[in-house]
Amino acid sequence: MPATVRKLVAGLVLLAAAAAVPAVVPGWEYALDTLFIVYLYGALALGWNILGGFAGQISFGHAAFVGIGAYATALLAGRGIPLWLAIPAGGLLAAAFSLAIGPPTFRLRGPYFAIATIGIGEATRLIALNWTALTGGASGLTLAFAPGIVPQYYGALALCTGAVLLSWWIVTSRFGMALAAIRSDPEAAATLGVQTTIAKTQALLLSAFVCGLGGGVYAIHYLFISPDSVFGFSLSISLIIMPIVGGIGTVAGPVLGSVIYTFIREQLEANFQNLDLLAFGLLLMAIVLFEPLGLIGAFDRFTRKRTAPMPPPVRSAGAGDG
Amino acid sequence: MKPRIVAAALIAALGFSLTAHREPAGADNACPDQVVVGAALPLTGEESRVGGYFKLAYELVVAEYNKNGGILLPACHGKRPIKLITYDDKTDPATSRNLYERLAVEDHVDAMLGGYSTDLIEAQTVVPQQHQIPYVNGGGAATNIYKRGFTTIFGLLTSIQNLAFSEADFIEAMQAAGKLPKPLKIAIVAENTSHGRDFSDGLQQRAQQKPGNYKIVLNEAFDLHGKDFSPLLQKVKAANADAFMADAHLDDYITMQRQYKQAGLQHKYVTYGARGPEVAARKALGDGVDYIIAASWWNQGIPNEAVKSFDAKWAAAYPGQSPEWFSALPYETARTLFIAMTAAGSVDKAKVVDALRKVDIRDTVLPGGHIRFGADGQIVTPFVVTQNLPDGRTVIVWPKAEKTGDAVLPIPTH
Amino acid sequence: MNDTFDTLVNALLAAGLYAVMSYGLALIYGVLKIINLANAGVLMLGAYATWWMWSAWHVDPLLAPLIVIPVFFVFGVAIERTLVARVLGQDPIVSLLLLFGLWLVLQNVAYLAFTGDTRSIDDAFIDATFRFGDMQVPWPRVYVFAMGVLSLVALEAFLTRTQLGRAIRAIAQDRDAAKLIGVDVARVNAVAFGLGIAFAAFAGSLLALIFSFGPDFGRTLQLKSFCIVVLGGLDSIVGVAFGSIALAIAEGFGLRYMPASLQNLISFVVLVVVLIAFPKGISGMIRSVRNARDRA
Repeated sequence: MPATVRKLVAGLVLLAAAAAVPAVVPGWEYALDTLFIVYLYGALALGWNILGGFAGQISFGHAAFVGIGAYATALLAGRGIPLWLAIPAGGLLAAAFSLAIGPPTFRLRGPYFAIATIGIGEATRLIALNWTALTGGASGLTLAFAPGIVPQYYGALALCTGAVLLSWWIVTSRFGMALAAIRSDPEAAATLGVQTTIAKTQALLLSAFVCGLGGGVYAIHYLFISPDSVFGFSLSISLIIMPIVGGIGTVAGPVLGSVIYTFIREQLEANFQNLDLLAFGLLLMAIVLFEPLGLIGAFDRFTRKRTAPMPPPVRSAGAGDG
Repeated sequence: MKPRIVAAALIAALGFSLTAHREPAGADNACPDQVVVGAALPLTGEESRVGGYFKLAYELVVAEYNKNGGILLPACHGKRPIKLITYDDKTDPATSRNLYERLAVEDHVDAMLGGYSTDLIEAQTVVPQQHQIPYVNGGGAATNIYKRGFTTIFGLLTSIQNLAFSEADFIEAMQAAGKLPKPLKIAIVAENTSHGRDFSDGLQQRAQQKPGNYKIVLNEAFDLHGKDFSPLLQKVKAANADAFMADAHLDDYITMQRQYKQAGLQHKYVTYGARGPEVAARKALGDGVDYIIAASWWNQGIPNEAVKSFDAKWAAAYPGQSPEWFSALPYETARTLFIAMTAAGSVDKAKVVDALRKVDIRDTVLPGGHIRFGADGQIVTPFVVTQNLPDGRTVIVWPKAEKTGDAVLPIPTH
Repeated sequence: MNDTFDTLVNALLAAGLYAVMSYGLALIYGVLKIINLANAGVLMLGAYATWWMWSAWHVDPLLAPLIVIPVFFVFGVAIERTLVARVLGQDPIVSLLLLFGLWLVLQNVAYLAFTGDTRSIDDAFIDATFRFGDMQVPWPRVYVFAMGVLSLVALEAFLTRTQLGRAIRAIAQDRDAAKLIGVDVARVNAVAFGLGIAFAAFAGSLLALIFSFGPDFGRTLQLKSFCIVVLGGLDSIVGVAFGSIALAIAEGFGLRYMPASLQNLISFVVLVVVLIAFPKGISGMIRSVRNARDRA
């Protein structure tokens, strides 16, 4: 189909341009640093989006998976395990953890699920904070070694590209259709024969894996991780803000959200740090009220072009029930 | 589909525009027009009181140098003015680390001054190490900071383990004088950080070496910057100890001591590690801080000429702000860095690091009168042990050379 | 025996604190069927308002609620009319995200207005204590407990004896039936939300007497509130009181056998266990049992 080919070409062009950056601007560390953060957070946002956007299960505690990936990578790397093993191990560990918490939490309906995710995020943070022998407690862990900024850059780019491809595959697959059905009406989906819990768990697994990988990449860049930085509620918040601002449930949305998030934070970090979170809070409220599909939705509306009918990310049902 | 491609292109353009307005880094210049040093300090947030003092101290040193034309760099044939950049890290370790990254990659500093306190310093030091930038701090005392094999990190706060040993020495002297029971039942309560672990490890080590002097009846950790210590204090009450030995930072000290008093707790010996005589605590708690023992890296009452003249200098520059250890330490930190730079001859980073390794300064207000770094980059200096008296004074009770008053122990009961 | 007495008294005092924090959540959920994620933010603002009035104008912190409650009631009604009412018909997640965004905004407005420095009220009352048996009990905690009990009594009276209160209960039980009998749902929604916000601010005002705080205040307490309302049933005021006592006792006695720093983990464990075992909370379970028995 021409549309798909055009998207593919556009994607390849972008990828080529991104890959060329280190060659075109050698030694320009600031550029590589910033783009690294865009790719990393883009991947994390895409990871969250698999569960929150495609499957419609909004998680307020996704930092748990990032944290597990980060600590696993840091601890394994500290014991001499090479990074190309340590980072995927972090992702797998996060996925395994999600298997443990998925089924019980998916039994919960509506606001109870959201509360449970807040609780899980907070619990993992508390455990990391108190299991001092393993995690170093509040002092966190420092990594002694990291690859240079150029290999890091490509690593993050690869992760982000992988997450984009995974998301694209989900959206165009039967799995994605099942998730869309669950998102708009779980009961109807169940009557139609969709195995809702299994599908949600699969989405959670993929989501956790991507975020776990992201946690590992985070660790090798920042070289310092602590319970508050990788398990903290502020990270969970950013994982929600980015996809929603960019366009929840789309493939480009989370990446766009990451660009905007990084851009605003970079500009304000040194001097007006809390203005950015204030802006995001207001953006979040505005999007929820007026344009649930975020900036991509606004853009589509502006160009009066909606693609094949996408089920709305939220039900317009009667009075909300528990 | 075209609009989506346009959107994608816009995303890309936006993404690359993030990077467009910064110039690429120039070559490292060993003799620039001005020497740029930077620091990220907790100017707001839980440690803002101390962070504010650090800024004042750094600025004082830079002003002194700039008044005389700047810092002398022999290899550059003359003096260069110093430019000090300070950022507010809001007492958040991740922010602190990012700001030091900014100092390295955007501001291209020649050297870095450290922030405060241990958990922030642990986070921020990965940056100077990674970029091989000389870094000197006066705000991180935990041994862990210096045990990671980092090569460009230097610190003027001697370790909390040594603090624990100093207090233990003092306790043993008091036991010998009959002022404290032997063995002393101690309840240890330490913050859940490298700082707190140093403290409890040090006390445990000493208790193992001298079992006749100590009996540990409680050993618990608490969350840094916690707000509610009443559950913890309930356990302390149940432990029935003679001595309450806590390791906390200023805000937790104030919160915990307030709740300690509210719970009606009493012990023969109370300490919060390095905290005790701070003016802020006296203001917040009034007579609630009476008789508290502290082991400090510096005290304005140390009876020697160098300290007296520093007190006067600080009072002249910052009237109304009493000089505390977190005035003298950052002051000496900045001075040490600039002395090392002069010794190195230029701001060449490797040469400055080398000069710091070899630094040997005898004219200092620190106890022991000698600034010299150990192989791991951390200084070793003695502590002074102080006690707050009910009349509002703080006296130095240990060691004998610096003593200005006698300790009132055991703490009188009402 | 002494030890147990100590633990019980401390648990009771803590329960009063928790209950006051959670009434607002229960009220809002009961009527509007949404979880007020901005509860922590309002709690924090109530504390700041009290502190600010004390530090700038020397207003007695005990009198602060007289101003805080009405001001925040109006604030709550305004929020409901302008923001919440728009999303009430949609999936609960929408209101969740909206109020979450509001919490972010409130938190960062506080950062901008007051910086992240820790604040506390240093008043003579704060440090006052009295002897109870061989225990020293701080007055502020007793005061908060008393307010918790008073609030419970007042709320129950309001809900059973006033017309507005009965309308609230009607909507909480069956919204459509209430509409049929002529209840003005929109108005009641606004009042209930306003009351819920006023309660949260009142709780913040009380907590300022006990804790020092910054803009992030309320986040860990919020998790305990969730645990309590889940324990007690998301829409029952008496359930909140019951849940507060249960949690406080679990924490108090659990503390004897575990490090103090793990105490907050207890509320999470309780939360998870209850959510899995009683998805409708304990009051909900009691209600279902009662319904089943009535029908039999």
